[in-house]
Amino acid sequence: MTGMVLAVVALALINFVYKGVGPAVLGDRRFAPRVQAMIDALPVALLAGLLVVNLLGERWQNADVTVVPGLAAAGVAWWARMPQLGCVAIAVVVTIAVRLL
Amino acid sequence: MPSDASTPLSGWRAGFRVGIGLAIGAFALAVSFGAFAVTNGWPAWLAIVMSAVTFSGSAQFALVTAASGGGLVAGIGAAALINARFIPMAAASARWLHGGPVRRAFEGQAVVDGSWVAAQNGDGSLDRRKMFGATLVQWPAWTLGTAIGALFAPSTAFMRDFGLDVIFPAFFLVLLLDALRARPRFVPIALAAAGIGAVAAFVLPSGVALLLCALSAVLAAVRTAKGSER
Repeated sequence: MTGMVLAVVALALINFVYKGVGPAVLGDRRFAPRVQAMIDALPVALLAGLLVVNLLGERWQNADVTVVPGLAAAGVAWWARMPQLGCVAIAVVVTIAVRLL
Repeated sequence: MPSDASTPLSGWRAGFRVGIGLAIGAFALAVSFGAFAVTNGWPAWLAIVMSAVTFSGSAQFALVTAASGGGLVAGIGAAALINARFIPMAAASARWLHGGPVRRAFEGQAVVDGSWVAAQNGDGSLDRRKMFGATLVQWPAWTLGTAIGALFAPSTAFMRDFGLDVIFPAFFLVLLLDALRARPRFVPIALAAAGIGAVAAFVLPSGVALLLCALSAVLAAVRTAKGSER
């Protein structure tokens, strides 16, 4: 039990340092163009990664074809310039429908 | 350079708006985390405290999983590795945050996957208010969801039945498409990241796989270097 509490405290501290150290140390420093290009590309890289890793899960155990039609519908809704929440709602509705079939 | 493209109100409001969608996904995931932690022998109160003070989905799952095998230290190590992605994310946000080092460190705590991504402007700047707003909505949803999961331990099948498991991927997809519409030259980077993610997820913990996806951003640096040589 004490070990569990200490583990939680440790994780909280680690997170605080991770998220705080860059902003505290770097401030508004400008980077070399190459480094800056990499930082600019990070959101897209991590977002694509989040999407794939989230969909597949560890050892691909979350892989589930029934989410594909839902995501495709969200893509079509996005293309039709629907707002973000609307696209997500459509994905959920289509996924439920596919699973009920 | 527009470091604060939004007005104070519009930034927060945009953050709340995107935060609500992310919060629904976070809530559903948190319910399953709470149930998972209690099933693995964690007291309900500690699971709730963990969510409140660490607010980090996959790292929390990793810690609980490792601890149930008796490896608390290994669990902390895995969680630390999984969350290491927050270092580059927060560092990339640094120039858009305000105040001295201490205030910046605290503002950096708003860095959470969904919020951080949603707060990216098309011109490469970051809307800090949007990030704060989005995180502020998700944090109570994450904590409350954990409490409900830990105290009532519902069946996790309900996530699937109600299509809740598609919320996060759908959000990530829409945010990614938005980002690519603004900067189409990043399409190869997104494809490379997706490929790395798919392969890495099969053999590595999710957080580590995610960290590896960041490597595809190196492509942008290579391209810039080539561009400057010409």
